[in-house]
Amino acid sequence: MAVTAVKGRTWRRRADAPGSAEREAVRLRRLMLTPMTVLLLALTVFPTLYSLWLSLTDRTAAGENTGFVGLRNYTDLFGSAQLRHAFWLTLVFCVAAVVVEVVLGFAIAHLLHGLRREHRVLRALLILPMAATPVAVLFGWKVMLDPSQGVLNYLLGLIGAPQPDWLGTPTAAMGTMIMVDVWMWTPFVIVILLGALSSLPQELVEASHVDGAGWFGRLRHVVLPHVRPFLVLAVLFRGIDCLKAFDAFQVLTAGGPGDATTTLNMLAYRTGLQFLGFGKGAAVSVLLLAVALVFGKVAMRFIRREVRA
Amino acid sequence: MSSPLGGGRRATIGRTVALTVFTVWSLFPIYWIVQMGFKKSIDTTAIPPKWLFAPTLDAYRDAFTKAPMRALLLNSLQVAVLATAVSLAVGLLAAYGLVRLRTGRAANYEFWVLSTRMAPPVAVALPFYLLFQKSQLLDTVWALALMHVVMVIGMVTWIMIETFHGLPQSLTEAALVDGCGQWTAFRRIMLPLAVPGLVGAGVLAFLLSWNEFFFALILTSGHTTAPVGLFNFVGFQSVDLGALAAAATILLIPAFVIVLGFQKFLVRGLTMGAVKG
Repeated sequence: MAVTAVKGRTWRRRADAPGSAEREAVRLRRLMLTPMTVLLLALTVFPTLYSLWLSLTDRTAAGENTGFVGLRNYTDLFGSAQLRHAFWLTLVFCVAAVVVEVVLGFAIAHLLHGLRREHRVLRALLILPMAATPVAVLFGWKVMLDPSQGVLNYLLGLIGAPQPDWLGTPTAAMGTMIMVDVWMWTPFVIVILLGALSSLPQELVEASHVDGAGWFGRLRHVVLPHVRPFLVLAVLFRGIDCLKAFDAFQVLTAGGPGDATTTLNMLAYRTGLQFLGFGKGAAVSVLLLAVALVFGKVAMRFIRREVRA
Repeated sequence: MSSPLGGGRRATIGRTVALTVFTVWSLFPIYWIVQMGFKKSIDTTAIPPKWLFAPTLDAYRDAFTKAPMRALLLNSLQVAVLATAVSLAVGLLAAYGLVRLRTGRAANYEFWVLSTRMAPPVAVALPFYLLFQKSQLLDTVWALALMHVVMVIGMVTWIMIETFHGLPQSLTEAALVDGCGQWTAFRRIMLPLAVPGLVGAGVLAFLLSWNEFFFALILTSGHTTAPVGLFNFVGFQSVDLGALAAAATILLIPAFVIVLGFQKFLVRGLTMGAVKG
């Protein structure tokens, strides 16, 4: 393929003709990018177009009388309480999880940053929740959250605290999903912000001490302006990932009780793949894709402008 | 280096307490799974919990005899190796093409590659489910590995782009002046220097594929991977919690290895280079 095509000319003199090296470089670049281009066309463009088409049909697993139905899946969806509910749950989950993760992550990064030697070891340990196989640790959470046999309620009982039915009631279940997401992904925010803090110019901090700025003043006028782009980056990344959150929902609640934790992503999965309503499911996933793309576009533009610059 | 917000002795104590609490919170669920796997099956969910116990390997034996753990792990391994190999090969070439042989439009292409990280898997899974069903590829490691390539290719390429950016361009220039072709300059000079980045990207790709659940759940059933196997067994009476905990612990081994040895690449890959690690 790309390799053999170029190999024959490898030792040709560069000085043969002016611009020949330049031409060779351009050709090689094209060859090297070909596999990626093919892969991206097949793996991103094809599914997007096919999803769009599917969403305009009433295709199901039974499959026989499937045909073009225009925008009916979309009008059905926009009229349904189910979609509004899923939108609302997605919003609650994403906003709550991201806010807690960023605030907690900033606080912990800040505390870690001050440490001298323990820093690296502790960071390695704190990264574990996001590196660990989600299903494996979620299985652990499921065991721990059991209302009667779980260790969490046992410990809460020891100190006389209320022992909630973590996954049993609609409100508690959503709260638990947020808690587990915070457990798993706060380390991500910590890592980003640790990087940001370590590039904070020490002179600035010292100058603010000399000027007699207090703790809060320093936070507001020195630290926050410096870490702001990284905070935004953390929010964008976490926001995008929260939209797609699946593992914890599937393992812990499967969208329930009832549809109390059926976010947009879970709704797309349940209608499209669990109940094999391909047309309807595709319509939900197209909506989700649209939201994710808007987020993604903002994130990309931001990374390009502020972080890599 | 002191904390930018300063603080005295009382702040130091407060910090120690807060960090300890957070560390315990972060590690406790993982500790809980691991210790469960070493308990006798009657002790796994005992209340009050047995904090101290004589460890046994019974649960590990059960995981391999009463549940098909071996086959599941082999499937996981196959998928992860395949996905890693393909994404490394494609990502390496593309990254070099983008960085070293830069012409215009490269930035747009780079961000096309990165956008694979943004797409919700469900929007990719539905079309491919139907395609694989039609082409008899459903429930094969090939189909699943291909989906995992979509998932990791952005990160792999990103790490390789950063790696090549970090290498001195003058080396290639010198090789070209000496009469090397562009391809030889890549093969003999740049590729060997990029090996550390390649290893890091490969390890990260392996971990992400090994951990993946969504595509595996949808696209495979008989030849499924270990996370789906574990998920399917949760709630079955025939397999006890201890055996499941043992299986979960085995699944966690790559994560432990990576956190210990490849932290830098994990950080860099997951934050898309925003943090150097």
